[in-house]
Amino acid sequence: MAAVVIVFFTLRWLLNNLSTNLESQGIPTDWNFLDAPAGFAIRDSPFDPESSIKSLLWVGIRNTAAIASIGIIMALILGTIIGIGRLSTNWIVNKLSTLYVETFRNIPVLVIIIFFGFALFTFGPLPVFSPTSAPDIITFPGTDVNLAIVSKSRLGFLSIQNGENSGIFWIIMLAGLVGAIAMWIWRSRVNERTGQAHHRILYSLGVLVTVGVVAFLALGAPLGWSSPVVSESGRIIIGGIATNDGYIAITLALGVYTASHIAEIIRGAILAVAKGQSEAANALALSGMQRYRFIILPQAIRIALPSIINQFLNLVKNSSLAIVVAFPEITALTKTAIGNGNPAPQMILLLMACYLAFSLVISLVLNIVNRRFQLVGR
Amino acid sequence: MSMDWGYTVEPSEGGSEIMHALAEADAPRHSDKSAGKWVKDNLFNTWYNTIITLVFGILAAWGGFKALKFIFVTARWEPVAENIELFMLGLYPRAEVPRVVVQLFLMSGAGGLIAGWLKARAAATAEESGVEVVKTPIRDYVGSYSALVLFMMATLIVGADTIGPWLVLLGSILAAVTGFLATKPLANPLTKIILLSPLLLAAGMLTRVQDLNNQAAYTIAIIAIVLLVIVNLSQSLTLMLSAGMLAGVAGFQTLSGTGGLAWIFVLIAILPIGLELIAKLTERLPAAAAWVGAAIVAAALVWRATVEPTGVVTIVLAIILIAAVIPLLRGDGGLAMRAGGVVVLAVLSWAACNAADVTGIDWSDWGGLQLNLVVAGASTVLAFPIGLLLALGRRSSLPVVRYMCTAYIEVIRGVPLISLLLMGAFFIGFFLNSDTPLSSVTRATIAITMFAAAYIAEIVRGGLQAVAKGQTEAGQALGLPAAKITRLLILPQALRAVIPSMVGQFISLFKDTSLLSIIAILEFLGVREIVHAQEDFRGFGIAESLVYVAFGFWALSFTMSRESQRLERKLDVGDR
Repeated sequence: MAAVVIVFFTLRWLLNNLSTNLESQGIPTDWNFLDAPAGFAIRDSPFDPESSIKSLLWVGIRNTAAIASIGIIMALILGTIIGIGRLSTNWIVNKLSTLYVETFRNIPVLVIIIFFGFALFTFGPLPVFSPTSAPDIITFPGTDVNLAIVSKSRLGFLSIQNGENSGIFWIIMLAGLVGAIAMWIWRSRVNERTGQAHHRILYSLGVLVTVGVVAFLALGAPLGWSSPVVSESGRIIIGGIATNDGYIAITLALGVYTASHIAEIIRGAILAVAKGQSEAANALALSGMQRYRFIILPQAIRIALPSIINQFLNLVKNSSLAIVVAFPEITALTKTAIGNGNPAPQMILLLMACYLAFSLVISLVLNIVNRRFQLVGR
Repeated sequence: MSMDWGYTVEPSEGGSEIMHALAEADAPRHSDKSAGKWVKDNLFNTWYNTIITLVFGILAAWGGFKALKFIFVTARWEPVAENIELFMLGLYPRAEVPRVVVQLFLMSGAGGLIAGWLKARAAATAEESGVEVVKTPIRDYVGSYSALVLFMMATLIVGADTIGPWLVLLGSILAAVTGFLATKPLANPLTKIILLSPLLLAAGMLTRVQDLNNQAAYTIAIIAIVLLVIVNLSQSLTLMLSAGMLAGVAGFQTLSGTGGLAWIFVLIAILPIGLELIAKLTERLPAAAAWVGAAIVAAALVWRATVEPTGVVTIVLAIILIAAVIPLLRGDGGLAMRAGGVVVLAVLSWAACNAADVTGIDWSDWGGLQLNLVVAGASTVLAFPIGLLLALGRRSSLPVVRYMCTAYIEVIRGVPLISLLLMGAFFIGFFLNSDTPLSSVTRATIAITMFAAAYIAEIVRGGLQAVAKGQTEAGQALGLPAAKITRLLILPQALRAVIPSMVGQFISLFKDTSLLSIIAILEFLGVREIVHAQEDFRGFGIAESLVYVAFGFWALSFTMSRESQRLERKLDVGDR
């Protein structure tokens, strides 16, 4: 009980000091600044300096989400490959995977981010993007459709663009997805009832693709390509997905760094599956592939998932380091906004709330996945 | 029933299984197949393996060639070579470099003593329980330390233009060896001479190195020699530990000075041997002596109260006095004896620190790799007690305590370190009522400590959960109160189980200190800013300096993580 009292009074003392100090420094303690104009432009973004701090934070949140989503997918794929590579009986694959893991695991992620920024862009072979120097343009062979535009600072890639009737098309696709899931459940039931092969993936994909193709043709091509082109002024890229060096550097770096951790988790999880399981599979005369597919991997995923979720959360948190490659995600924007005279305590509180929200959303989704994988009453 | 924030993953859920499997798989194995058979089995056993081997072999050879060519031919290491002191020490005042040398020697000696203590303790435990000590083969040490040695050699070869730095390295190694040897029981005088000679050499070198004040060097050397001889003669485990910690504290204080709080560190260092002595003394003295202990505490309280009525020390003393007197009235004087003894030790260490009176270098002047290590170490040490309390609080039966601890841990674990560092940089000072602004390094250390405490709390909680429930029940069956069950039964087992994770936490903090460069502190990575601001190196050798920094971080982290894996196998935490 004494501890509670001590903590209570300490907290009260700290907060008292804070409010006194803020008052004496003339820093506002309300939240009105959120609606005031930001007063600065964001690099490579159409953001209007007259927009409010709220919209500035929104840009930051979207940019953080952009790093996290691609980074997580990259880290998972790369990490799985390298994790399995570390278990390979092929000596050279084994040692190269080990080299990868031991290198990236033991270097601070910040150094890796800076390194990617340098290696790919500052010292990379790409041309400078400016009105006087043309960037490299990769076109689709035989046509003049731009697939990608690359340079030291700006990059653009071909993307899908919504056209006429695209809204209806996406609604139909959603219905198709529901149909595919229903097909999946139905095939699983058939398999359970009769024992015949379920081919769930084949059937479900079939439904989805059929719906997509029919809807696409019936609606008269609702989607099109958007191809990146250099603007007339030669300063920005119009169309497609436009991005910059900072985004590529941070996403690749985080993907590569987190992959080294995921690789160890995957390897450990596979090793943690009891040896008897593998031997039992052998006794049942399952092939090597079957043994992995039906016996080892399902159990390994169950063991690995909680730790992998933690790595995803780490990746989101590490995206705050994009500040060093000048990519305007939420932390970088917060820091700039504080530098521009917005009250630090409130800004940082918001920043923390954003990351907590990110963590909550990711783990909410993944914990549902996790629950499906965990055995009940183990 | 604990509060579930939705995004936490229980530390024991999956994580420990994975760690254990990895530890087992990474245990060194030595095969004795013939070379030809090995190549056939491991590289060309199937047709697709042959293809993979060829493709990756060529890729690896090409990559290795490129890397070697970069390191030895094309790379321009001048920015690193000319600024090696900046990389190691930042803007640390150059006239005070001898202090760093002394610190290195003392820290190495501390490392040797602690290593010797660990070894002796393991041997004692093994003898008690009748099992054999597992000897670590020398090649395991080579595997762990080769990265560190490589980094030190690279640094010295590139950066040392005089023989001085090499002598410092040699002296540090000798100090470590001496510290280690001091813990060994040695029979004949010849070995004792051999034991002392490296120390004398190191002491001699202390006086040779640059312009260190000779008197100070001799004082340090004499104290060290006396201490080591006593350690060697007594062969007491607690003395080894205390001596090691004392050397470490002394090393730290040569830089940061002995004013202010140094006596607390000294007190903590001598506490193990001090408590042992007090316990021995208690056995011999009559029970009434406990009143003397209480009187000592009371006297100290009166003295502090006259000097500083509302000071922290006064309040702590008052609490101790009350806590000691209550059982004393009921006839249990153990606590009063210990309290009195500790107060005497505290006064002694305070007096010793006052007598030594070394003015420190303000640590806003520290920098380079030194700062990374110190900040990581200081935050781990400071965060440990906080984390321990948080972990215990999270398991408390009081809902208010439990919710507060859980909320703190989960919020801190959910936000990135940089947000805390920004908080430190912009407004942590506002929480305090002080007129003098805190230095940026202090603010960063507070932020990192807050951060580390939450992670350490989760590690400790994992350890607490790993202790079998039967232990608590056994304690209850013996009629022990809850506090004693936690202190005597649960914590020792839990903390032993978390040692490897704590090392892992230190490594990760060490890597995280690179973030200090973002808030403009000149640590190992941040130093590059001023290196490349120099006229000669503007935009020159940028990649090279980054590679050097990355290699430094890598070598230290790699060696530490290898050592922690070895420790884990040695403690065999997973098998319990």
